[in-house]
Amino acid sequence: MFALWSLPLPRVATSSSKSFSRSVARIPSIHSVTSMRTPSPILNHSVVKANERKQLLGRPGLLGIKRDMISWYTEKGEQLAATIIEIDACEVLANKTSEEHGYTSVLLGQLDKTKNVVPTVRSICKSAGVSPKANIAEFRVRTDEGLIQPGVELTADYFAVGQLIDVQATSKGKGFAGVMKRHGYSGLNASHGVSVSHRSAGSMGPSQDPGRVLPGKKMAGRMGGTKVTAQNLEVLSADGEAGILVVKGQIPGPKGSYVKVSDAKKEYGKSLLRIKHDACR
Amino acid sequence: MLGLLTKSKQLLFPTGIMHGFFARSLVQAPTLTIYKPLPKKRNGMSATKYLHQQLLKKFDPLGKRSQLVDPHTGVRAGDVVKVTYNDRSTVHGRVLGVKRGKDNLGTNILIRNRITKLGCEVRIPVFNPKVANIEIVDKPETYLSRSKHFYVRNTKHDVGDVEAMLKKKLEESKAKKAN
Repeated sequence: MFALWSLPLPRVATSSSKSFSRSVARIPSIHSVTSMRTPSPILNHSVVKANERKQLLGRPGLLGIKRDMISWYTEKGEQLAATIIEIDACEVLANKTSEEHGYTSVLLGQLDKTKNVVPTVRSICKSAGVSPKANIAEFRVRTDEGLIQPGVELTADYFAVGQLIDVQATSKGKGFAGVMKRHGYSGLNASHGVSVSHRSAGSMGPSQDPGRVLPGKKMAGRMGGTKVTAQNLEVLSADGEAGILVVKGQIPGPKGSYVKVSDAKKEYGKSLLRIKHDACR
Repeated sequence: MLGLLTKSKQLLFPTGIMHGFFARSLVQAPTLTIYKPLPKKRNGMSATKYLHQQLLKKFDPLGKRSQLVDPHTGVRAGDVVKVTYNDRSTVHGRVLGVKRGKDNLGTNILIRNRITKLGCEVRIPVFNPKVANIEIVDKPETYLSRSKHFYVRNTKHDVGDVEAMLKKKLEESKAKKAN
């Protein structure tokens, strides 16, 4: 970048000077101007800035398996629906640091699996000093302070009773579902001349203008089988020794499916920018 | 053309390799060394069953409630039951059915009564700490068929005023004793 402000200012003929004198035009050669490199500005859509903006948790979560749903009685005698999450051999496999990988995260594995493990998984587990795992997943952490040494086992009492958690899992697949089931449309009339199309969507949008169906129109299609997060669930019980976590309410997916459990993002999550902003106050 | 093809085939699969390819011999695979898995939690017991046991210890330490809803020896549809809550209020009713939870404290009893000539039903959560006691007060001489008696509603089999029935029975037994 050329520092243009270092050029001599053009002479401006002041109104007081009445006499006009012609002199040699002074146009500096581009080569005569000294150039210098200024540091390139950090773009907002860079990895570093994006990481700063991201609402993240201070520590990783846990990996678990969804088990049955049960009735839970509180001290007062209230009856609640609760879900059992089994935390079985959940161990830290590796860490990713911002210096090396551009972001900070913890790699966790759950369920010991001795046979038929993919070589890549086996090598990761070996370097961590733990037995091969059936399921591995990554948790992003705000700073390097949240990293945990590989080989450490995390138990269910990692979470406190009464705190809020998020549970992420793949929801049950419903196959090709109609518009009523998939999007909660009301369908058409049962009578009054409606034929064959009792469960259809009805209008697809405006007429000649725009003359097409707008993108994103809700229609029939594949339903379920996607990543779903149940947010702000209360922890009712956490038994580290037995590896049982009991959570209030429902969580996505069928029984026996792998789930990711972490502190509630909306309750405990904070971005680095927010922390900086709070510190300035 | 034919000659070319045969030539190329010969190049791709020399006779020695072809022989080895079809007639496989057993070779010992390299053994994998892995770290020892962690000891199994709960001695390998199912998480749901283990938790249920723990909860039973807490909510049913004497095992009375579990006995009450035992499918073979416990309460049956048709029995008359008296439920006492912690605040000493009571509810009478004839059992219409027992809904049992599997490894679950959700087990409940549906009871029906006739109060001011109106059929009333309540579901009693058996393991709820609010419920102090459930007592079988009366058993019929002959039971109706089925384990769930939902069909008795508004029929000739319908439940009458249970309290009045109990009172009448008590008086009759007293009169018998006096004689």
